[in-house]
Amino acid sequence: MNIKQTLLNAMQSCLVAGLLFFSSCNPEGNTNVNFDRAAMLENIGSNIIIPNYTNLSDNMNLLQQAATDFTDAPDNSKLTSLQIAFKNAYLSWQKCSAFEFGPAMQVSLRMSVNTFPTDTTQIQTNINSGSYNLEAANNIDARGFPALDYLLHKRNENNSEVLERFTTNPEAQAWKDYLTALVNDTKNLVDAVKNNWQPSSGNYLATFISNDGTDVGSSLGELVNQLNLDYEQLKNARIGIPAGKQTLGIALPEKCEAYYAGYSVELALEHINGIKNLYLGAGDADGVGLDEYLIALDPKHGSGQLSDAIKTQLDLAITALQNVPDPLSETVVNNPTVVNTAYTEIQKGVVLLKTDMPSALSVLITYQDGDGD
Amino acid sequence: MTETKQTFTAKAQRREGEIAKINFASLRLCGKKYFRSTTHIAPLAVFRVVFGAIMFASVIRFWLNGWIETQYILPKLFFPFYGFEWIKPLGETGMYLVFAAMAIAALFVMLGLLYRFSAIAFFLLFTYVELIDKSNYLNHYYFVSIVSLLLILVPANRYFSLDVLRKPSLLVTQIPSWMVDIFKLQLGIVYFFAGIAKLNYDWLFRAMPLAIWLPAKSNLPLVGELLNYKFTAYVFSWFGALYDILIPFFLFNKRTRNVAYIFVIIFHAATAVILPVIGMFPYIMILATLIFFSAEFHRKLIQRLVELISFGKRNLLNHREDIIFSFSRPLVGKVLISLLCLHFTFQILIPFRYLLYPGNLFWTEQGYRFSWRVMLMEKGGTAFFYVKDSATGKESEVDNTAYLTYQQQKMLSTQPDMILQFAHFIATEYEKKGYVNPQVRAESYVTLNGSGSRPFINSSVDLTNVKECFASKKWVLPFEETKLGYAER
Repeated sequence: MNIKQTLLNAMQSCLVAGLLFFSSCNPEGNTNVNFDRAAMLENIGSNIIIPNYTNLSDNMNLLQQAATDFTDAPDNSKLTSLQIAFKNAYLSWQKCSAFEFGPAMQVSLRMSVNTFPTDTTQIQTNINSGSYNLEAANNIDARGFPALDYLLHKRNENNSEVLERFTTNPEAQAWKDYLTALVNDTKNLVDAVKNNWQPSSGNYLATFISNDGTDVGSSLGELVNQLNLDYEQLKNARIGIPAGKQTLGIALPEKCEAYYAGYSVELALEHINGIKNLYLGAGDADGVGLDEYLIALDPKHGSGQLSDAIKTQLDLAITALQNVPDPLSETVVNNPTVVNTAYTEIQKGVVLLKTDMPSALSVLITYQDGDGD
Repeated sequence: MTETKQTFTAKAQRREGEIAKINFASLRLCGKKYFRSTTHIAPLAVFRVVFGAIMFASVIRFWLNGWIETQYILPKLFFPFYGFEWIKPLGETGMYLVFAAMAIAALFVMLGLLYRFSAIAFFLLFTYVELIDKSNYLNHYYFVSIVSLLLILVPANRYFSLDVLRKPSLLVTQIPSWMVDIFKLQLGIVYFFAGIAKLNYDWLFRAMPLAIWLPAKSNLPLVGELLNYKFTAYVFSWFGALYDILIPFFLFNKRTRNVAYIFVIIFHAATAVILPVIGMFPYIMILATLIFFSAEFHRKLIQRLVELISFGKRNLLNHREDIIFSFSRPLVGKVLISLLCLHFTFQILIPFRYLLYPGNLFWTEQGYRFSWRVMLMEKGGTAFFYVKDSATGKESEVDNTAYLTYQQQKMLSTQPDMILQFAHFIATEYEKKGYVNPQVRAESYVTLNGSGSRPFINSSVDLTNVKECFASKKWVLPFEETKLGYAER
């Protein structure tokens, strides 16, 4: 009995001494984390995700209308209206591309509507044959916004040549049909996802809010992972690859997003602003976002707060991007320095979003569950 | 015979009084006596059943989770351990066959069927799989490899097994005590070293990494709110360290054993709920530590099990007198004991090998693995790789996702030896693409226990010129804790 008593006593004393020590002097800032994850998810779901999908869906309706008007009687002014409607829809997509979980994941929305560069040969084959299934694997880069970008624009900004495709061209009807098919396909996907989120129909919002843990598969886990994946696509697909970052500095202009319309940087800026708003939890007004969560957790970066470091870095990347003139496809050739600067600032953001933020939030950067010890 | 063991223990205790007088000869005598002492085989039989069962469950779980595919079939490259580069995965059919065979072997170990063969098969198959890719390294996998190796050396099938049912002459009731004690010692080493690994500044005085991990679980019912308090992280840290260091002794001591086992259950259940991805480890430990209980306990346990599942009409336990195990040749026993001494010497030395390396162990991870450092740090990183074409002097950034799984990317960014392996892989890959004498450099940013991301690798070093070896990796930048500083200190 003696040994047991002694050891247990020793253990108790150690524990009590430790507790007293730490209750009397707490060496590190705040004593507790006061944060409601569910409230953050509610704000992000209700004030960012659903409104952005709704906005995209509305713009898809306008695009569909403009496309119908155009195909009914193609002319220059209707083409211009259609191009504007397309641009608005494409811009509003940029603010939705990070939400690739739940309903969007189910239909692989990001891949379905925005795989670029688009495959013009495949598009031409589809138009020629007149029979195609846009959901088939070989059409993944012949659908969505990038395919529409190709259909509706010419690199030389000569709209009469675009108009020719839909009017005097012997295959004009096939072009019109493909245009209609692309718009409908994209719209249907977007609407399905939007409806799945809305409380009035699929109500994924409720699932999103209630799944308020931090494990793989939790809403926060998916949000942080997809935010990162999406932000890395900004770095690589939107800027890095066209700038030749993976090809010995040899620029690949035709890899740009919206290569034919030529407003790649405008889209990229919309995209990074979407990322920033998601981080800040900012819908119409600033609400509870990942930054508030980080403030509550109080992680440091250098001599300051991590929450500030991320915001500052995103702003630096935005400023650097604003210095890149459109069309990006020409800037990567004529003025690579400004592109490189923007790329570096975006990359610094990757480190903070992918290393510091998940570590502080205790969220794993992984898309599959795993074992551990 | 338990009596024999008790007599021996009593004698040993009496001898403790005379400890000052102990000289080499008496120590030898003591050792000799110990290695001649016997105990009932029941604890070993139960351990065999329990271990086989949980391994079977683990393999099936691994399979059903789809991890055979994601970890051994889909990856384009693998990260073998230094010296084991010749270990390669076997492709889809091969890997599924390996896991199927592993599941059957585990089941056979549990049943005690064709035991020696199935124990060897399980050890080889399991260890083979673990050696394929170090990005899957887990301490508990290492533990499983060791235990299955030890199980090969003992006659765990000669009681309460299908082998005995098949061939009753195999039945044995008494075995040398060391055959049970080696498992207790191994478990004791796991706990003890896991405990002393926690005796570091971050764990004890910053409550790291628990101060990061616990608030993430604040949505748990009942205890959730408590986890938001830094105080809780301190309590858990200190309790965890004390628990790991002391529990082997409390389990070993007959008088404290019952209470200690309750602590084992509570502790591991708590870790299963509270820590991020801990897998099968808690359950393995809860079941494995049963071996600390007395032979009598295990005999009764088996008795009850036999009553539950009556093996036909024959009663396995229906034997009047003790049957004592003996080696076919005494030399075999001596060789085994010598090898085990060597094994445990290494077990005690390996966790300390980090002392041979300069720098912060958690940062450089030189000497980190195989040392029972479990759930010790929150570390994350992002790595970028650049390949230079020597002909043009131009450089490309590597798209890591083209070659690595997310798991591999995650593990690689914080582990220098993996960064080096990937750099070498990249060089070969880009040479095939037509790059002339490709030079590869890595830029990785790592955060350790909330330090904030900082450069990890000297990004000016061409890693193709660096060979993997046991020497210190000079191209890992020092942690420079004081220079960059934790802001709150």
